[in-house]
Amino acid sequence: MTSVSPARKDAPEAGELVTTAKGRYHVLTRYDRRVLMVMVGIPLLADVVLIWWPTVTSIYYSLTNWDGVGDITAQNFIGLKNYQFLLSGGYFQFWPAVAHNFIWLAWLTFIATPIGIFFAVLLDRDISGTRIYQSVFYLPVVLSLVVVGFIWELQFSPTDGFINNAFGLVKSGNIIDWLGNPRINLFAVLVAASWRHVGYMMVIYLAGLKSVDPTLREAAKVDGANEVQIFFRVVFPVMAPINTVIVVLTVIESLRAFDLAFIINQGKNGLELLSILITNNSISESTRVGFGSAIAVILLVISLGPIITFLSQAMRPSRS
Amino acid sequence: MSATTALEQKAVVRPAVLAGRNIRPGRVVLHAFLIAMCALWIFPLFWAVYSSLRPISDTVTHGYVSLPAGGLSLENFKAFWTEADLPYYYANTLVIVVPSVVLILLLASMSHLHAPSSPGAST
Amino acid sequence: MGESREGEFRPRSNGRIAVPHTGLELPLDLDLTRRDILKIAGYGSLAAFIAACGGSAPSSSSSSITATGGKLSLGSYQSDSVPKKALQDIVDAFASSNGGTKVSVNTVDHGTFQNQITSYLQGTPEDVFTWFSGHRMRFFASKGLATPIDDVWNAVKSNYTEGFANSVKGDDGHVYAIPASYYPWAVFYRKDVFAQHNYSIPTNWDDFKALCSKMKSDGLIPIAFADKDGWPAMGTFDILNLRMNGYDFHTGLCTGQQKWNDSKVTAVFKKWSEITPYYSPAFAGLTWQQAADQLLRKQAGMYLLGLFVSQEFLASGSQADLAQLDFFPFPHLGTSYDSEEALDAPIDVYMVTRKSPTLNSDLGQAKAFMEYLAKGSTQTAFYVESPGAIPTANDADQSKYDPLTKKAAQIVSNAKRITQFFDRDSRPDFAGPNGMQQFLLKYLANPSSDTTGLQGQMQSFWDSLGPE
Repeated sequence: MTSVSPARKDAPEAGELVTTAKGRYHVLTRYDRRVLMVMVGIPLLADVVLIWWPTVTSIYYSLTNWDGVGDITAQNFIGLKNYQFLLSGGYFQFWPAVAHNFIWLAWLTFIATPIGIFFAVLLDRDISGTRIYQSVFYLPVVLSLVVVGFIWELQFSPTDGFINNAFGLVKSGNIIDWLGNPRINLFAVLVAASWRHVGYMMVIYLAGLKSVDPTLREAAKVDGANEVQIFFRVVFPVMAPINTVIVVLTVIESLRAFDLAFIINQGKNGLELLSILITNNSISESTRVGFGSAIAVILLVISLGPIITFLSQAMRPSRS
Repeated sequence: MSATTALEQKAVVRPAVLAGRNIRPGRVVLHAFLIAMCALWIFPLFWAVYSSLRPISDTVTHGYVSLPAGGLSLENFKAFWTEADLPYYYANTLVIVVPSVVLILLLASMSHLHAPSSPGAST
Repeated sequence: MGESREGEFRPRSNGRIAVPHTGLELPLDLDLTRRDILKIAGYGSLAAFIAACGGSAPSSSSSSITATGGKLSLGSYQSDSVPKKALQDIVDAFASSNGGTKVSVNTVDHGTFQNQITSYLQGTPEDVFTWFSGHRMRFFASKGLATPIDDVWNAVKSNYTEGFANSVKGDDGHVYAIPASYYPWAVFYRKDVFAQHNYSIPTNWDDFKALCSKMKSDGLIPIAFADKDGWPAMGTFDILNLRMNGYDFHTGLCTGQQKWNDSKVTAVFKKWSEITPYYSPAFAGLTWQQAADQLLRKQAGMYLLGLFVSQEFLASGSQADLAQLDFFPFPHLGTSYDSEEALDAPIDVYMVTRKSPTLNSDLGQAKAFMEYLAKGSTQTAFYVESPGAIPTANDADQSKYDPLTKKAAQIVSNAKRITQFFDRDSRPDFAGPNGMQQFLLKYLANPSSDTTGLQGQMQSFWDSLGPE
């Protein structure tokens, strides 16, 4: 200890002792601290500039009726009129879009994600060909959503699609308008979205299942539990962190839903979604930037619920 | 301790399992189900590939759900290669993908540097 | 720092002034200091800048508005391979005829180009860009995003009819575009199908409806219709409104001077419901190409669409099928407005941007390109490679037109009133997927129901849009 001059700023005794969660000790010198500040500061700066600053300006734009051309003048400022108009139902596509986003969430939560988890559980065994099965289910995930949209248009097109023709509906004249009937086209798009979502959830869950301690399972088997009980009583609770990830991803996918509905018909006639309303108002030919920003702020507020939930869970001190 | 007994049990069970070739009806059903699911999964993709192998004159005249009149052809791929400016769009894609992957990895790992207690950390 | 050495640059004995740092020698016998020279240079460049900002001042030689050589950039939405190549050939021909001007063409997908147009024109656009006539053109002109080209128009206006001349003027009366091509909307049919079933061309509404019911009993889809993309239905709305309520009411409706809950609009919806039973089943899920396929495969009898329907017939690869394609103008409705023979004939134009970073240096070449595009020979060359739209210039070689195009040119020249199509005549935030497209789909889901509620919704939607 005395061999090191105390004047050196980054000497061990010039630093502080930090305990980590596992109870280990770690010396954090001033040099370390400076390095850490830089290392964390750069992504933080990027985050503030690229995400938070545009968010704040969006909130500002939402209080105007700016049309994207020229400067914002004092007469553009209209206060909360945009929000009044949206929430009162004056913009007739708003509440249907909110409803559709929630239908999307419900479908993914109760149908697509459970199927993905189910496939993951099935494929977690040592069966031959498990890699092939996994690859087939994961294949749609690597496709861009635009491609997925085109692929499923080939299936769902009322007169030229596979489904209506293969089941003889075109010949008999009982065409089901999968894409044009506003009562069912959202579900057609959800089938296409699930095609992709199932593989995505399956792969994440498989990775989680691999990390489950096999001794837990053996112990449960010894105690006489069958497969279903093993899964729900033993495996599922242990996978809590993965479950959180799954839930977060499902919620993100449903709030983010855009590409498929946009590709099919630009998000109208039953396929309205909040993200598409924002796009059609702000960055299409009709540049009602102020109005579109108001919709975006509402989407942000809706998203804050799951975000805050997830963060509070993530920042809870982990149990040892 | 329960682990060692479990392992011993496994060691006892395994030779018997291998000897019997393990063709339980449950396994057969499982494989059949998985194969059916895979067929369902890959069918839309297969259909898209099939449609891509048919020239536009064929699909316009006969519809997409029909047998190829005049055989399959690579005419669409040829047109895609020569007319669709592929090198330009591919270069654009690389310009977007490569830096974004690098930047994401860099920034994410940097921001996670001092977060020793997070869920999912296994060490 | 220079003030203390003001007396430094005295005129030399030979009466020349050396301009500092440039090695130039001005043959001036003036008692100029360095500060004086910088002052002159500063004011001079300011003056030049102000002059350049004036817009219509010629930027190159004093005798003509165009310039040879140099370079030019063109932003184009002709993303389909056939028109893209045709445009490139035009550009190459222009380059060689204009002293080797280097033209760079930036082609963007058609739909994307339209959607991004506002940010495009405000950012760093190319010098010249492809666009449409109508309200959309006037909107950008009035926002100061396009350069007026009255001088180019004066040179070429003798080559255009009055109808085209009116289509390129902005709200301030200046000319902002050069018309390149156009195509009419009409009712298309196959000659062999009509011959086979002994149909005759209907000229009035009652004959039209009778023909529809006859087709239905013959097992055909009487009127092919596809509205997944929202805009095709506007064609029918336009023509019915034009025939029933006249050109003035229609343009007033597009620009907000007439109300959507007017009883005249109710009458249009009512009339429309008389033919909706004859539409293709599940039309809300079909694209126009699929409806054109129905016409091609003899499953449908008639199709109200633009001349570009021939592209789908072309794609079938069968010349015989293409030769069977024919059209007739939308039948008369028995109103006083029938004599206007009004129809939708959207015009594609070229315009000069305002904010292009290279425009100051390229303005002469841009104007030369616009003059080149106004020539009949240029437009015919484009047409020959990419038929589907008709050249606008008077001196275009009509002998090169196929019979369908000749007939189309005829029907437009007969029209006393031409509109551009709803989504080019009206403001984009009303005409887009948020507005008119959605309203028409709602109407078509239940055409025979009372439209008062829907019309009220349309009017309140219009009222909610801010000032343009």
